[in-house]
Amino acid sequence: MKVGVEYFVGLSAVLFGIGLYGIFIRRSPMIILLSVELVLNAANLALIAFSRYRDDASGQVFALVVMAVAASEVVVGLGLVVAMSRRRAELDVDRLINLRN
Amino acid sequence: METLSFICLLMPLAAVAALALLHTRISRETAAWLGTGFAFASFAAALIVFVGLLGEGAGQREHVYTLYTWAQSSTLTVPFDILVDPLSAIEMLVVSGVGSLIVMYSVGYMHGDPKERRFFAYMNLFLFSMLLLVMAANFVLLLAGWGLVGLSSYLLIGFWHEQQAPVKAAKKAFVMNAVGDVGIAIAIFFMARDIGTTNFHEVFQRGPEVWSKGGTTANLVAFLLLVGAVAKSAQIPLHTWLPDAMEGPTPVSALIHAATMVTAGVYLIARAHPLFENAPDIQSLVALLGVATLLMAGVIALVQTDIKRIIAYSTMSQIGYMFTAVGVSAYSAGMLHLLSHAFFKALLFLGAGIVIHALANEQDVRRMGGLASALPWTTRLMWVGTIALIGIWPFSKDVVLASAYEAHSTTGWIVWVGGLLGAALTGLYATRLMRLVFYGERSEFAREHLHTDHGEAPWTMFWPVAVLGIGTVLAGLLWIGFGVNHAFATFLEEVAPNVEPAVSVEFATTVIAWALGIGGALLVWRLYERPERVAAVRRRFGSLTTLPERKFYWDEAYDLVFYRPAARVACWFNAVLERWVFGGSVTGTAWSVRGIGRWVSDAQTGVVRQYATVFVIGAVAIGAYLLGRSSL
Repeated sequence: MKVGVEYFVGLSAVLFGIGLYGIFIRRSPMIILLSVELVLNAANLALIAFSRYRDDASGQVFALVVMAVAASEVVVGLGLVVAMSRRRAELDVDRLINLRN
Repeated sequence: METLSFICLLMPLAAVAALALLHTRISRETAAWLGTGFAFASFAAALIVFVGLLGEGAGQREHVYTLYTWAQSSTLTVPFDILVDPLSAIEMLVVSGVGSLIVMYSVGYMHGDPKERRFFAYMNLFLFSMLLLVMAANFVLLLAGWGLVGLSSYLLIGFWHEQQAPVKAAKKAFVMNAVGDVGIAIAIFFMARDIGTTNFHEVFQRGPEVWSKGGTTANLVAFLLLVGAVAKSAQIPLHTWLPDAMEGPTPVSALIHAATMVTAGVYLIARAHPLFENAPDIQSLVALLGVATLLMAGVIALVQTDIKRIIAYSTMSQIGYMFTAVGVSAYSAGMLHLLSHAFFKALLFLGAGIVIHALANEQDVRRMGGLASALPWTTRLMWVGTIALIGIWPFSKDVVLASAYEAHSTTGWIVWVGGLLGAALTGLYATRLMRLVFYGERSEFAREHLHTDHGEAPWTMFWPVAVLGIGTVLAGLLWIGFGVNHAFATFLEEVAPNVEPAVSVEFATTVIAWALGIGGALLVWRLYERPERVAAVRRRFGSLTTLPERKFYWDEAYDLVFYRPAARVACWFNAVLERWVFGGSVTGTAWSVRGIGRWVSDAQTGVVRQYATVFVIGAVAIGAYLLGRSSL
């Protein structure tokens, strides 16, 4: 049985929404990173689904690029989290406002 | 001869390179003798070239040796070529001969100066530049030498740059000379445009063909060359730098500001005489400027008190005579006066240097007096120079005047009368100098500071002066015979023709000039015998001396006409243009960037959620736009 592309896109949209929601309402940088990961993978899912649907490999290539970018982004993000937790115990992105000035 | 000519030219340059490269690896003494040795080697080469030239037929004494092509621009080619002919040979002899004697004199004079090595490097640089100037076979190379002598003159005037006066004098000399350089450069543009070459031979041959006699261009070219000559030779109106140049060491004054460089203007006019013959008005201007300068400088020399400045004004006055000579087409008479002047003026300067040296660097003649008993040989040699200056022997000045008389023109008459007046003035100021320095009662200062325990002077200083004295006497032989046997004029005939004065005219002129010169000399001598006579004269003419004492207000006039307006315009530019237009545009840019940056930075709140919101809104907006566009 072949699953229609619209299901994939729907799932992707749901995942994207959950990720975006997480980014907006959570304060912990760890959770925000997880949410960003969710958003990126939602995009990946959409890319691969369309790639299969249109029988065009470039979508999959894009998905690989996105994975690489996501990996680097996690490295940087976790580095920030470690640096923050070294300075103070509380992990809260809203406190990062102090970085200004 | 080709090799020897180049050796003569390049020896001093080699000395500069050697002194610069060896630097402190050789002692000061060695450096001084190295510079002297190279200068004498150059003189030896010049002497052999001169003898070789004498051995050739009268018509074949012109050699052009090309080293390589210096510059090329479409049709204009400027080769690095030198010209050896009677005129340049005479100049080569004067420059390298008098030059090497003065460099030798400097060994004693500059002994112990911490910058001795540099001094000898500069002196040799000057010798090279001057030789390049007189040996160049085209106008561009001549201008290169012209500029280089200006540079070395600048370096040597400002040699004692720890003091302020020499630096100011050097700057003044350089700026005034630059005016002349520009004049020659523009004249070269005319040659390049109308003749297509700057080689002497072609320019002098074709110049009178392409530029009609007395026409605008002919006059303009001659005038521009004259501007260069006037600036270099310190003639009115570009003369004010020469007296100030006396701030340099005395050997420099002798070499550059008496014997060689300042007479380059005379050489230029003699060399380029076909162009001046082609512009009679400008040629008269040359003679008239010469008369004006010789009279004015003679009057100023009467009231100066600095021994070197007196001699400097006398130099200006004597160059005035040379200008009058070339201004009435008596080119070889002018060159003869240049030659004998190089000897006797260098002699006077170096003698003055011995006096200054013996008196702990005092230059004021009022603080000297009665030095004849302490410096007997110097006194005798200075008398040789003074007699030559007054024109008794060698009578090169009288030759100039006789030639002017023979010109039978209004200009010639003015020159003749002015020159005879100048002869009287020369007798007055030259004798005044001798009288004040060597005779009369010894001043208190002189009694205190005179030190002659090691003889009159070191031998390196004394012998060059003695040789110059002999040279001065021998120079008189060149014109002996009063129109019977002009060895000098015959030698120069091909390149610097002369007016042949009648024997009677020459006799008469000489007698009148002698009478005036000796009369002036005796008058001064008698005057200073009694102090009350001097006082009486001073009372009577006291009010008249202000004008010459202030040097006829030339410096003040330049200050008023050029310096102050220029300074005021510069101040205005600084206050308005620089501050508001140029400065304003720069600071304005900085201000606006800073303002925009401050305003934009307000968006950087640091709240991550806000960034994300803006980002999402933006992404949605772009997506909506793209969807909307594709659905249309």
